[in-house]
Amino acid sequence: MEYLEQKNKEHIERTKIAEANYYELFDKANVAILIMEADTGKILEANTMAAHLTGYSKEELINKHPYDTISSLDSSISKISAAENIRKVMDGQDVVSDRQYIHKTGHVFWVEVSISKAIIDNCERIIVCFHEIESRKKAEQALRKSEANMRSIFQHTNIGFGLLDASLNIIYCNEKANDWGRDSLGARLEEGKNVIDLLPDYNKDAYIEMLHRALNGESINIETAYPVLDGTLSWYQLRMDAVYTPEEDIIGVIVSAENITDSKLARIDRDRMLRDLIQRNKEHEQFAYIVSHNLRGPLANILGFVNLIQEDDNSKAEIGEYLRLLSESANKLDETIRDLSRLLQLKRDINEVKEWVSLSNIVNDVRIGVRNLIDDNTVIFDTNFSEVNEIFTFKIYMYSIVYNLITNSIKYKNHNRRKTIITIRSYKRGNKIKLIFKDNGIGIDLEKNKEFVFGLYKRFHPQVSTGKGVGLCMTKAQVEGLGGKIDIKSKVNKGTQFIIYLPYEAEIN
Amino acid sequence: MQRPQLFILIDDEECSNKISKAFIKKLYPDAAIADFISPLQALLYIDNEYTTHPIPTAIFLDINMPEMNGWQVLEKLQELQLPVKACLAIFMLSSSIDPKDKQKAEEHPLIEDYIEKPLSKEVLYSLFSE
Repeated sequence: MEYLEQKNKEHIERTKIAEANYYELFDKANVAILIMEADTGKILEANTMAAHLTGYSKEELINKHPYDTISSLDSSISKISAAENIRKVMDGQDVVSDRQYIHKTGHVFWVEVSISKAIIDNCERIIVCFHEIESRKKAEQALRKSEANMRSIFQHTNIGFGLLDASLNIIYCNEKANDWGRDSLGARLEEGKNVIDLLPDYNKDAYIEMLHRALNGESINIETAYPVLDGTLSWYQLRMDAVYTPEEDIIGVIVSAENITDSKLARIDRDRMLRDLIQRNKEHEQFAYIVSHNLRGPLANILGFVNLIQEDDNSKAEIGEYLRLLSESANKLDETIRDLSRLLQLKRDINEVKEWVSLSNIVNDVRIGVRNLIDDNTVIFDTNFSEVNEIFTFKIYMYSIVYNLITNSIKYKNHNRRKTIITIRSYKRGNKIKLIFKDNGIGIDLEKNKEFVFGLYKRFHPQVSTGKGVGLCMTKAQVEGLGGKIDIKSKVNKGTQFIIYLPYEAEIN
Repeated sequence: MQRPQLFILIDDEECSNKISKAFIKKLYPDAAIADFISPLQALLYIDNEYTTHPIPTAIFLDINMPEMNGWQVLEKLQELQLPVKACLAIFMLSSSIDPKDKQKAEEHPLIEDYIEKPLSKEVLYSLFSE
């Protein structure tokens, strides 16, 4: 009997010691531990670390619900997830999660909580272990916040961004870039698709080349136009830059495109207006010059002859001559004024109607018109309009241009030649027509006179006294009025060649 | 300057020369008149004739001429280093009323005076009366 009692005592002693040991383990553990009742969720035991981390004493924690102290009741989500967690744990699962606890002083801190089930004193208990993860959590939070910011910027920006790898496969595109893909390519810019396959032919080689240059480290920044599927053209500020690893290896390229169509169109408009303004200013200056020099000339002569006639020692023959010359000068002045007025009128002519005009027919009409200038069958026409014969333009302008050039060639023919040959050819050049008028006349010394060739009243051959030299100026104005260009090549005594470019469909500028 | 015995007219317009010639003849019937519509011809004449027989001469020079303008003619005249400049007077005779032309002429060392066309008896009087 004593033996049994002795054994009992020893057993009780050993149990007490074991319990004390376990309690020591529990209490001094370096992690906060709470033992909770399974069905009520009340805290039964809390260790020293739990008290330390939460700021509450063990007594303040025990027999209360965590919601009374450390857990926040604010969010219904956290309540639901807490209940979820308990259920999982009771089913035998271990749960680990991050949550925030409230310190007794009120400040909130992050902990990693691991919850498991245990049987203590034959009862089901929930063991909650937690430790602080404040700094890690803060960093994660900051990263998530900046990620959210970045994502927000990325998605809401007006700039389309695309991230490509070194083989030009798409890694990521933002919404704006996808809008562009939809509007210009009719395709979604999906991850994995290759840009080389996606891009249509429009300048494809140029863009691929730019991407490769960016992959080589070059920074690309250009304005470029790209067609939209609806037929219009949009302007973009396109940038491409390489993406580097921390070790400075290039692993891809980031492309950004900002739609600048509105400002670009505005700038194009403004530039055109500026050019027009400058051109009109130049023309005004020219006009002023013409008025002062070309009107006053014949007028001075008129005044001179009037003075002479008023002298009282003139013979009848002299008076007759002076009157004749007076009349001539007056007529010259009149013609000058008419020419100037016609030149002004040219700019205002918008009432004419465009039609299909046959070049061969025009030349034939002109040949009939100049019949009286060609009095001696010595002018030969060599024409070939096989490449292009029809142009959609203002008939009256075409006629005038052809007339002026042909009469020019006839007037300035080379008397040392038996025949005057006028060669006219037409060529297709892209969306333009190229016309060449060549003659074998006396030519013009372009070295001296290049700038003045198309000026008003510049005469290079005073011995050829007919004609006042307005023809070429008018011709240039007319060619340019149709949206074209005129240029001249000439060699003295060899001949002259006029090269005219006209759009297929003429426009009034 | 004393009364010229020779007048040289350089103007690309025949009418202009005719008018000038007529007035000069009325005032100075004994003077010789050489008129040119080509400045180059005029320069040749001056180089050959005037330099060998320098007599009191007046030159009336136009500005705007296709072959060579008045200013270029003056440059050429300067090169000629005419021996007796004292009896040579050069006048610019132009239809231009551009003040810039007038100013340029007045500042030019070779030009005696700037005259607006048409030439008249009154102007001629004022140029050569003693």
